[in-house]
Amino acid sequence: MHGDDLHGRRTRRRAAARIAWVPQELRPPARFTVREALAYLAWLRAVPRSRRSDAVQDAAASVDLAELLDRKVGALSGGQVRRLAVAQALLADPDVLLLDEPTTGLDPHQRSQLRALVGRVAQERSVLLASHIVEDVAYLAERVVVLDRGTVRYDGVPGALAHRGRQAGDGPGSDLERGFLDLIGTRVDA
Amino acid sequence: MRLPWWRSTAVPALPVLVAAGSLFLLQRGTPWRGEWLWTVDWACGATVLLAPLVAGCAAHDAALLRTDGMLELRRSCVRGPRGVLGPVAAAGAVGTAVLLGIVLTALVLTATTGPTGTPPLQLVPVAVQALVTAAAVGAVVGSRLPVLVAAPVAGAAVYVVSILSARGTVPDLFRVGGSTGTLTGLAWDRWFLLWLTGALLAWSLTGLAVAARSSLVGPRRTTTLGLLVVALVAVGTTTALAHRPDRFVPRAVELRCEGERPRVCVASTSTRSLDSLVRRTARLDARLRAAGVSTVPVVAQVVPGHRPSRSAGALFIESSDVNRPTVPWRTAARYLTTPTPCPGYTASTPPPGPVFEAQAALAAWLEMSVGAGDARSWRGAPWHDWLTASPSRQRAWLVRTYDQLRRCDLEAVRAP
Repeated sequence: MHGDDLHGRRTRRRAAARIAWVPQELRPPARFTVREALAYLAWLRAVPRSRRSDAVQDAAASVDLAELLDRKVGALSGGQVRRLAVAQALLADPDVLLLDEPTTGLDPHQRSQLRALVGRVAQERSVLLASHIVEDVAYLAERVVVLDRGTVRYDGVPGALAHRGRQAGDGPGSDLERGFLDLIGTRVDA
Repeated sequence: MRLPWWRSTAVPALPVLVAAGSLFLLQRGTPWRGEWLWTVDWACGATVLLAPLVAGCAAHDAALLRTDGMLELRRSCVRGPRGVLGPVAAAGAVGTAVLLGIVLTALVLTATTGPTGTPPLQLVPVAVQALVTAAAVGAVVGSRLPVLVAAPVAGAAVYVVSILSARGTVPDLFRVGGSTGTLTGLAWDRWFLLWLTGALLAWSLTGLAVAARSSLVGPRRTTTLGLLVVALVAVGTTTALAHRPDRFVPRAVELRCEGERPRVCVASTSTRSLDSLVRRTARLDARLRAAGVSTVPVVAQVVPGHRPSRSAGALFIESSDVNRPTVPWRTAARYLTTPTPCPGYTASTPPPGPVFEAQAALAAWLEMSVGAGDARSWRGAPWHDWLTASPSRQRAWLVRTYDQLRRCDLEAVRAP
């Protein structure tokens, strides 16, 4: 990370501060308001006190939670909680954002909103998205890495993977999904 | 640390903490009112109930901050390991506020009795440290157990330490203060307080280090070493504490004397009962003299650890009476039955049985002589008939027995 080794004893802290992670499931204590949860997480991310309030406002605004800052976390919907999870990752304005299954468990409307949000966030930083949902990958990814039992099976653009899917023949699912399944050696029965 | 403290479990639990502290303060009445040292010691004893509650609150908060992805997220944050400080600080602060309120209430209650001197407050920071340590224990439990069980387990763990310390199994870590008797003639042992503070501080740091380790990623060699050092210090200071089992040391105490006949002297640290004592012993003493008894001109409180004067009558004042605003006649009468502090009263072998019978008869006669008692109250006593005997017969026994008690000729004393 800009010359700082993530595993170096002295450089780890600086390097880690430039990376933010959005866990698959994150629910701060229900009794916190969105503002309090973000302020606490901003402190954990070592955002300076003088910038903390603005960081909370900006992060909430960037995920469309600005109007819900004073709402209790326990009163948020599933989609809003997921957006809160993304907001906390933006508090320290990271260079790299790691997203773990960001749309799992969301309804189609919430999933669509979150995809749009990730697309916006990705305009200003690198986003590494881990997902089993091929639609998310098709919508968001510029580069795809397919991992199968610890082995990299594919590293390239989504278009090439979709092309492979088309060549694999007709079947259910999208071209990208068929390309993925063909890559890891699973046949799709028509 | 930057946790919204007003969202701490300790805040909604505040009424419970206040109720527990108040319950402790008033559970045995207020016999400590009138004596600064006992007042502070007793009020600080509230930690025995507050510490488990504070531990429970900290455990609940710590457990909440590791559920639903929070622990994993803290591990990815620069200040993740410090996240455990928030629950400890919040629960510790609320517990401290309640403790200080309890101590202040007790001080005000004693101040209204007009005690001499100023309140010694050295024990208060130790009690605060005990609460912080309890919160750290709570953080350890909360960083390991689920939300539902963390609070009861942490509270029980701290309470068990208190129970074991009361039985002498482990040193008194969370049982700071809480003396049930007067502390006249005593002072806190400053070395004991120092060791106790050190042990509590070391256990706090150990607890915080253990709790913080759950949020650590990467190399742990340095933190493991640090944890080992503080844990060793904690064990060492606690072991040292076990070899200093007594919290108190004797201290010189001045007597304050008032009245003429007899002149009544009590410890200057607990003089609340002195006025009443002077009035009542004066009337009782006058009755004895009217009966021809040669009484002692001075009676003085016997203070533990201090050699009493042989020339003064002995006031063996019990804890329940030491700060009474009005001394009951029965108690005042009993005080005059020990005109000399004979060694036999405090020796390992008690005085012969007839001495106690004679003193009981003497006290009963004194009580009746001022109209405060009725002979029927002692109907079952073997000397009951003597209480209603002729004055001359009573006088003969009184003069002889009082003289024997003054000369400590206890073997010769006989009941009437």
